[in-house]
Amino acid sequence: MTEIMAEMRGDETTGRTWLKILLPRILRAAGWGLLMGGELLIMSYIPEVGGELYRYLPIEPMEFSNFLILFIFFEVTIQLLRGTIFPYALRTARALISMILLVTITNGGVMTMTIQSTPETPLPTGMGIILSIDFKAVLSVFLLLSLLSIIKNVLNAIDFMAKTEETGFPLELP
Amino acid sequence: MRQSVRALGLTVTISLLLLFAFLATAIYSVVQTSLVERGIELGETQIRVFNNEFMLSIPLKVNNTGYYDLTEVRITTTLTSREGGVLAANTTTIDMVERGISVTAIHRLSINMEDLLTNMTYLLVNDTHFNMNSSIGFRYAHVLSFQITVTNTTMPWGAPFSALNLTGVSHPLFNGTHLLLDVALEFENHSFSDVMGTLHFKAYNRGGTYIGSGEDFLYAPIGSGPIEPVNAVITVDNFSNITGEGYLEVSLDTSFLENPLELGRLDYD
Repeated sequence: MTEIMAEMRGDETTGRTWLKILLPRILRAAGWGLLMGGELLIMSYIPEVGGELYRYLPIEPMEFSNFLILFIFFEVTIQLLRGTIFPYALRTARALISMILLVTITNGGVMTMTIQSTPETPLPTGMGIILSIDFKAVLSVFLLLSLLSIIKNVLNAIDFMAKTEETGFPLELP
Repeated sequence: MRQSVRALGLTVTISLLLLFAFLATAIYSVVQTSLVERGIELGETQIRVFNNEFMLSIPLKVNNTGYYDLTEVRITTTLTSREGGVLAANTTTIDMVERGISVTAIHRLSINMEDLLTNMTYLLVNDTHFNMNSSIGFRYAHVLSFQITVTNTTMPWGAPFSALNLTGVSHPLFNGTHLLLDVALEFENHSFSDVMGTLHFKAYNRGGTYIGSGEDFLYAPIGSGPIEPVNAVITVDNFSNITGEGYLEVSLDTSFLENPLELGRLDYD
């Protein structure tokens, strides 16, 4: 890294130098993207696995895919922009979006599912089974921790700004 | 500042890990307890009629084999008529079942037969069904609440005087003091216990003049009709009114009816 920085500070940056900078970032971003939702997204597209998965999830398959794509996008962007102020802003945005999505998807911590009659488990005509789960307390703790995470990222961003004020801004990517 | 932010980050990470670990163990434990080991079980429903009370008893057994306490275990049942009116509702609660402990409670739902049959007389002679909505809920590990509601379960109602029908009166006989008549009565007791009642008769001649009154006792065991033929023994008040033909007004009185049920008019000759 030091060699690269030295090279960059010296002569004109070559494509090879940029490749040396960008390739590890891209690989790292791909790895983290795969870890932070990519594997679920791939699995959800496999009919045998995805079908079973969506049977137990209280959200629409399309909604779930969009949710995963959004998080993968955030993670990949954060990893690509390491060393700049953007990851802090993106992490803050991600925490905020997760809070909103979680509250919306879980209906404020009270989820209700209606069990339908199936050929395997037939129900008498007119009979209905409703399963309701209330986890408002757990959701509140999660939201509180997300808020703390937002505060942490804001403080990190301030710290980063203070540090760069002293050491100077890093070189911009092409 | 960097150290403080790092400490804050570490706190959030550790707290999140603890939260997920708690959630994972709680969900695993509740699934094991309620679904795999059937720790929350409803016993066989028992129905009995005692002192004009129609009583439904459901044993609720809670065996907490999980890692956390079960609290506010609650069973609620609501019995509604075919028209949707609430006939009875009750809730039974077990405050706490600590882990490793087993608790049994009996959930009861009772209906006063007098209230029921006074308001819905047709239930005396017509078989039908009631709808039952029941829900069972509990709080697990003090923070997770689960509730299962089963709606529109049907419960058959067997009428104590099912398909009651007065078909006719025959062999009128006057013995000097009483007017004796054989009353053809058909019904079947479909209820959960033997039924008893009293048939009241009022005799009139063809012109509608009152002759006298009488009564007969009625008894039918579960699943069958009256065990003895019905005889109307009319104590005659005014002999001069007997013309040999006329009609009987019949009403039925049972312990679960506030007022006698009018069964109609039967001609005799």
